[in-house]
Amino acid sequence: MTHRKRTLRELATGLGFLLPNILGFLTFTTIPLVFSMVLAFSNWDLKRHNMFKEESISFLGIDNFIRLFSEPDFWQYLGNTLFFMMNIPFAIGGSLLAAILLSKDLDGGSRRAGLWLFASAVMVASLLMLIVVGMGSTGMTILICGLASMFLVGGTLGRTSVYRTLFYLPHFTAGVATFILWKKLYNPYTGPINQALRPMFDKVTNVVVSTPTPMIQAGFWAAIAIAMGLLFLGLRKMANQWRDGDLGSTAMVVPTIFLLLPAAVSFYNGWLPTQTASFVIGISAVCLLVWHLFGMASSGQEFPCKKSNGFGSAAMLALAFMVLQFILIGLGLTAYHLPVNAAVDGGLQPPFWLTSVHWAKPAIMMMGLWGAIGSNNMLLYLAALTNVPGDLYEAADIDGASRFQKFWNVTWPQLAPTTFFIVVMSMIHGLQGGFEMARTMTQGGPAGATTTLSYFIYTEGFETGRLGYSSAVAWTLFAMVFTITMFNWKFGNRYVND
Amino acid sequence: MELRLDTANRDPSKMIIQGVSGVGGDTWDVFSGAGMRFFHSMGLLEPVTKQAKELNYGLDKTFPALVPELSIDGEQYMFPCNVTTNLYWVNKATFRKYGMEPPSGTWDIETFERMGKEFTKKSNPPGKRRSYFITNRVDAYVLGRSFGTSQFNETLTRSTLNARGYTKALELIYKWTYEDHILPTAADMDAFDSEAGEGGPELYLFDKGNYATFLKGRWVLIRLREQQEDRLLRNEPLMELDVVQSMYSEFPNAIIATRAAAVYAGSKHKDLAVYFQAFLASEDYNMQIVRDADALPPNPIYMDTEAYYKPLPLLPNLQLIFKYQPSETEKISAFRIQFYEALDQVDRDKPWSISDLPRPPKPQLASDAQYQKQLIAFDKQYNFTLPIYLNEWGLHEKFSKATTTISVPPENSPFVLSNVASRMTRKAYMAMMNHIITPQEAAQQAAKHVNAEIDRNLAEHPQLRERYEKLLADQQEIEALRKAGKKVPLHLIRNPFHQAYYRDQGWLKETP
Repeated sequence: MTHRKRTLRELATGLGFLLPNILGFLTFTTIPLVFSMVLAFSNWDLKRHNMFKEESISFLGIDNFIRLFSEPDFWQYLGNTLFFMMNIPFAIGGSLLAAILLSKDLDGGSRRAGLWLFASAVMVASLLMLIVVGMGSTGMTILICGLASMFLVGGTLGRTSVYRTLFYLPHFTAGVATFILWKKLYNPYTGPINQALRPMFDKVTNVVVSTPTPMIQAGFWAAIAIAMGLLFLGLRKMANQWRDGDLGSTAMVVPTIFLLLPAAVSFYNGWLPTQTASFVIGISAVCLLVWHLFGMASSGQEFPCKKSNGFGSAAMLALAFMVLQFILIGLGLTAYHLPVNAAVDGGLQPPFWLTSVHWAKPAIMMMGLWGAIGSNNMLLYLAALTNVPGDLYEAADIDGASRFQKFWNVTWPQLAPTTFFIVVMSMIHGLQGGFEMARTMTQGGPAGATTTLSYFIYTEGFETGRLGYSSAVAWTLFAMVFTITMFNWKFGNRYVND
Repeated sequence: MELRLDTANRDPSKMIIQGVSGVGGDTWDVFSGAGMRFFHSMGLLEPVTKQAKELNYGLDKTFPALVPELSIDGEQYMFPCNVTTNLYWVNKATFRKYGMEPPSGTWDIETFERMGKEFTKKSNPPGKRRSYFITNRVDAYVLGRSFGTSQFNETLTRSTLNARGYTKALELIYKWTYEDHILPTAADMDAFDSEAGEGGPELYLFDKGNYATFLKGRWVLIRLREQQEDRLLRNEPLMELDVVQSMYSEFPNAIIATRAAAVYAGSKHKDLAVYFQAFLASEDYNMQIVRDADALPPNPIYMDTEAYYKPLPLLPNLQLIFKYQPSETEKISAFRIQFYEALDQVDRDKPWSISDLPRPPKPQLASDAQYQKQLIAFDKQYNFTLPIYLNEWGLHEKFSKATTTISVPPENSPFVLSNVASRMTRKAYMAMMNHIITPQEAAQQAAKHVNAEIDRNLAEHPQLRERYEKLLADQQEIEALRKAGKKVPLHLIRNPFHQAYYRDQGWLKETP
């Protein structure tokens, strides 16, 4: 047999083995993908175009996309999707924390074992007491206590492997089952979350009612001041990086927009309770921006760099500051309205979670956070932590570094490639996600508050029959995923390698 | 012939995918005229007008009010499996417990509100979370109709949800929920949901008295009978059941709806599928619906029977009592037919006994003594449930009366899919119930979005335009006639609600 013949034969054998996979990929991925792309530029509507209808499909060009961008619903659902994605930093932080906890040695001698046993006994005893006194109109409280007891007892007996399994539980538990469980947890009156919150709210109501209103509402102004302080810090940090040549001029633009977004949204959206507050926040933001720009212009860049330099780190920083500013403004508004809400019949009430248009999104985000902590991200971090060279910690110990310093200067930089991978994947999943939760828990409501783009694709495709338009939404979503991923690769990758 | 039932195939998206791919089931279970129009718009349903005439299950064999729910442009597509009209179920004992006289027959808005306030005040302990309500829900469409407002105008060309009636209905629902607290909020219902079990909480809450009334069709008796039996087993008094019509302002009304069978256009067995529809019109099937109380029978003539007005218990589980062998199945089936035929003939006004009816056959393996014991157990079991059925006498005619007098089918515009219009209306409704917009804004928003969807459909489906223009011209003619104080010819009005409303107001000129 010649060499050529043998090579051909080996190639055929190899292809033969690969053929089932290739055929599967072509049939179930490539062809539908290309098909849906063509669909996005067509007027395919199941009401007019199917085997029972004779009308032919027309090419619409970019009409579907023009309509999409002019449709208010699309922007609302995109906003919902992006809002849910604000959970990503917290989810990553949570999974890292879980990984760090699980990487610790829990087999710490008889004293610790005794403490675990004691805690377990207390928990079990409490649970039995709850059952004996017929506690609560709901079995949910007992269920939660029972689960906690199980964790403690299991942990006492099985240690690290038990905890690792339990932490990973959200990942291998069926999604719909956990959604239903969370729906019960969020029950406004009988759910354990609100049962735990209600006494706290009663106490806060008493405090608020007995405190002069201006004193409480001063909290609003304090929150605004801190938010502006954060804006100042963010701008100063970026200006310093620019001066030091760590951040290019072009790379500054988007992070600056992120930083200014909370002030701009508050100013234009009419969130704030008084016009004075809107003006204060608006004028403060503009003044801080102008002041920094003026300072940068007058001092100039000491170490010139490429204009696109340092985008990744600046964007991460700006995003973190942006989220914090939003949280502060939200807390401030809560403080402002607190006296009025406390004065109504029944005092302050815990949130109605999934039935409230304001709380449905945060409720789903908290559930997502729970799922994310015990996810593959945790496993990735756990694996990455074991790969951090021990000599780096030894060197840090010799230098007298504290625990936090060791984490910040050794662990965190060593985890950068893993973090980068997790960020990219989380953003992709974040943009694509939300369908199962919306369908199972809220049907996209209340008032579209939890409808994400993926759910929108479903409703447009199968409730109205507009498959072409639905594909246009899907490809718009893909374009966003692709752009963000490219962005991450271009700027984030550099940040990781640096 | 082999008959296969796919009971897990009720999700519309699944039916659509199978349908447009040419692999749908031969007969489809379709919910309401809205579902029929959705599938029809895709060409998935086979017209059966000719076959229905031949096999005697035409539209004349069902409720006249249902015609728009079963046909499109004069072509029949479906025949009902059952028919429903939602009324408020009342447990008179719940009202009496608080020293109140239960509602009877009908109630206007003022009576409903007054009774609601009185009930919630008397039933809810002061200082505690409210968990007793006058009813589970109020249908905004039905309430809006009672003010003379429909979802669409007379020719179904524009949404009229922004009209006074629907706005007023939303205002009332908002007030009853958040100011008077006579209706549960979404959070209240959510809380109940967690405490209840499978199948929805309304029945249990009605049984427990948390809801003094609840809105459902006659079909709910299937479950209520089970709950009544549980009460008997616990030696508790039975619920004293009654029904009242929806609260109204000036035009009492209810919505008539149906779950119907349609033939799939791509079926290879259309000739056989129509026989299933024909079976739905048969006496056997209709009487089964009458006896089981699975809503109302497709053919209204079967409501005019003693078996409907004065139901008697169904057969208990024979297998549990007689322990028949598998080979005796046919014998039992024959007995069932015989038993029910005799049961339907029982003169309810004269004394009768279960022993007067055909007796269950003797099991192969039972001795005479055992069989006698089993017969005693059978009679005991049958008589045990008798009070449940006697308790219902008097309420069934209220369903038939409401269905034949005040019921009007839902309005479906040919220019917008009903499910899309409902989604838009619901979104506005939920925004109102979350205090984001006012009832007026919710009504405006719902109408605006539905009208925008109509415009979009007209742009995407130019073939609809000609029909739309013609109907718009009719609409202008109707408005001119109304302005001039003249009666409007029936043929100009396409909206079934407006046909009924105009007739009621004396504004209609009956035309052939």
